[in-house]
Amino acid sequence: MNQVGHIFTKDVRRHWPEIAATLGLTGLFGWTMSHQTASSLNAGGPEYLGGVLALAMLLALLLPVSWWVTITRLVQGESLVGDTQWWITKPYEWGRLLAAKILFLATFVLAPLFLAQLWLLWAAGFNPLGHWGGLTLDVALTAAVIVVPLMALSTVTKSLSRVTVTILGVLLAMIAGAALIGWLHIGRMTTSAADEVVYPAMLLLALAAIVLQYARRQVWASRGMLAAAVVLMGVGAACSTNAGLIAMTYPQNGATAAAAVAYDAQLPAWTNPTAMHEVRLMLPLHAAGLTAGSGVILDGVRATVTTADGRRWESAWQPANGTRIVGAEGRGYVPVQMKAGFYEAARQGPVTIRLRLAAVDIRAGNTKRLTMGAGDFVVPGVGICTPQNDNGGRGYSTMRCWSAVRPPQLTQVTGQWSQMPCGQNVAGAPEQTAVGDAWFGQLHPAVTSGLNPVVKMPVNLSNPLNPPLLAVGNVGAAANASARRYLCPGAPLSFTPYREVAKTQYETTIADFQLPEVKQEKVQPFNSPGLHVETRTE
Amino acid sequence: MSAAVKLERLSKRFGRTEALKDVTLEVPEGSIYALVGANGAGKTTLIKLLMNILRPSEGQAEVLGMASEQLAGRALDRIGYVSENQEHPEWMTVRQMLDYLRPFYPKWDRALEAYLVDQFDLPLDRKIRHLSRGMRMKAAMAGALAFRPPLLVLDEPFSGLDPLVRDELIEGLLDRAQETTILLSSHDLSEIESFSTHVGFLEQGRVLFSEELPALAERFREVTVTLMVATENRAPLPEWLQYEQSDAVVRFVHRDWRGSQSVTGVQTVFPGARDVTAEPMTLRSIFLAIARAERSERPERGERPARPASEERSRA
Repeated sequence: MNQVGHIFTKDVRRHWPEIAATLGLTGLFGWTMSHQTASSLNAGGPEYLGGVLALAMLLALLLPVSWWVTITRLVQGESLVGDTQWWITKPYEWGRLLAAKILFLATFVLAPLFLAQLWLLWAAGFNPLGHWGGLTLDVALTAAVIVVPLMALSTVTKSLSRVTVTILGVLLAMIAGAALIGWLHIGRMTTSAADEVVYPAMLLLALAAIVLQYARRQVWASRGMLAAAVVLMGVGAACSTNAGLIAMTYPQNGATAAAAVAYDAQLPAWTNPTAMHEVRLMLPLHAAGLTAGSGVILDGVRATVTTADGRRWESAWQPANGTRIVGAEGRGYVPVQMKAGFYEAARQGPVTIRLRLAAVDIRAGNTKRLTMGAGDFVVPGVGICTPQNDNGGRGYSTMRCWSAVRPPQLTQVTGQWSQMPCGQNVAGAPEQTAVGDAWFGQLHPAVTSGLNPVVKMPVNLSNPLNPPLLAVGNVGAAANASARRYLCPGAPLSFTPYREVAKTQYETTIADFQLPEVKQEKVQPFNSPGLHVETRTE
Repeated sequence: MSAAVKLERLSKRFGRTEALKDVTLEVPEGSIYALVGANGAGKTTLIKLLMNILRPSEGQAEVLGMASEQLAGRALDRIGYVSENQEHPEWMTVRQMLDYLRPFYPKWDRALEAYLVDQFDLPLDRKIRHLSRGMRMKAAMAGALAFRPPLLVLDEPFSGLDPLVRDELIEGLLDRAQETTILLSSHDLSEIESFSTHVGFLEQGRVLFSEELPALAERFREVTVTLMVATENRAPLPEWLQYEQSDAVVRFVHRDWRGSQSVTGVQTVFPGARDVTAEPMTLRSIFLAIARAERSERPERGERPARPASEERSRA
């Protein structure tokens, strides 16, 4: 038997309790989670379901804990810290020792997870074999996010308790760092551009620490690498609001821009107060030049406000909440947050507002049209969708969709509402004039490193309202414009995927603008993503 | 005779503390080399450098013809190592440990393994965590001898063992002495004097001497000079240690005794000597004489005492 197999066999003999615990928890997790998936797909279920679902959530916590114990004990079985270990004077070849440990983790941590995920996909109605590539990537990401860091920590510590203390220390440092950075970045746009460098670099540092420890047992050098990885994460987070990075991510290139985004004088601007003595000004925009099937998503905004008497205020990059302006008739509101004191002073006369918008041009793909099923129905490119029964049992008020391994492409779904409970109107005929829409998915769908490969998405169609009424904050009028509606089997549905064309910046200037009075009510713009206003009239 | 172990100006520093200073010595092939010295002298550090557990700050070490820093993986299947401080696979039984070790060593001799198990009276089915200290050392020794290593490195192997277990271990060692070079460290001179062929003496990280034991025994003499009449103190020669004079009797340890030539030298210093006697010394007496002389000279050299071995270990 070669050395890898020999060490592996010894580890199996030694760590059978950890193996039993990990396999048992993984199996139980797969079983309980499949119940959760099935119950969410189809409302109802056996009486014991509540307990099973609670167990599934508990297992989702216990499973990583079992990995933590298993990985730590496995690696520290041949401890790499100290100079009195038995094995370091024996003819171990470090590469084979490392290979044996990796083989163990692949066999008893990652392979069972892979099988459990296959089972979950099958239980959710997917063909698992059609997703093996994505599942493999999912498991690889889990290894990168959980297994590699735990292994790296185990190589530079002497015992389980020290790993635990180190993890707690790192977590506390991360929480403190995140709180600090979050506080510093309140109200500021963030970009994940740095993550593309930071996360791979962190993984490489962790891998390098592991290899260095096995090859040379350079404890302090390896610890330094791991500390550098944590620092790098902090630096990445701190850089996420960097204006230069944002400008690099959203280049100013007017020639390739799909549209010209400008102030829409047809809609009113409005405000609402926020915490920290600030005012959020909602400015209506439209995009000239957009054709059907194209659109703009606003990720960030930077505003410069100049008053008539020459006072000037410039914001940092602020988040634009993913405002979407789609199609020739598309409109949207962009929020600009400014200090209440300046706002009130600037209201005394007309101002000039210059907006720089960090945007993503998007374009629609082929629309898939189908009718709402009474049960599960397959939506190509998305996954499986199912209507969600409302509590009164009179029909369906919304639906849910499920994707395998990764969320679907950013998709706009539209559906026709019925005003009567399903079955009470003529053949469930939908109300022709009431069309709701919703968005789900991601522009760049990525495999996640979660335990459950079934990605759940609630699809709450908008209950069509009179947008201008809602937009000015007239909630009462909005309520009158809305009625309880039902999404019934047979209702036409359309699913339109959108893809990114380019990231860019738009600029527009609003001259002689009178800032509106600050309203005390908080209202939402009419095109908030996935907005579903349901007014109970019965 | 070629050297199984060769050190050249080997030094090891832990921060500002120099645990080993310019150590140069050779362990001849086939020898039983005893590395002696007080606690904290640097014996364990030296052995860890040889085994590539620690890396030297300066100088180099060669073990079985290979630079010690290259000593890893397969190269270790020619070296048996047992240390009093070694952690053992506590969860294994003795049988499991031997079964586990066997495939690592191409030259593992199962008959010898069985012989050693029998000789050391090892309880094969008992877990190592349940073994006494002596039994652990015997189990470790069985694992280190069963593959007939050309070099056996033992760090304080007899420390804290009862005499019976110690004798059993020594007997086991001597059985293998024909086919292996043994390098062992000890601070207990009496236990190694009976079977060592060579001895090296470490004091505060420096080698004070390294030579064959018979030559050493021949070289050191406890000299008593009886004078005709009490005379005033004379300046002792550099090779005289622990020099003391009381009335008409002078005593010292001669560290370079050459028979009649040395007697003549003594009579030159003491022309009125009535009698000069030179008694052979035990290794322990030699060790003490050198250690005391070294310590009395150290303040004159302005040296600070070195860090104890226990601290060295914790820093490592």
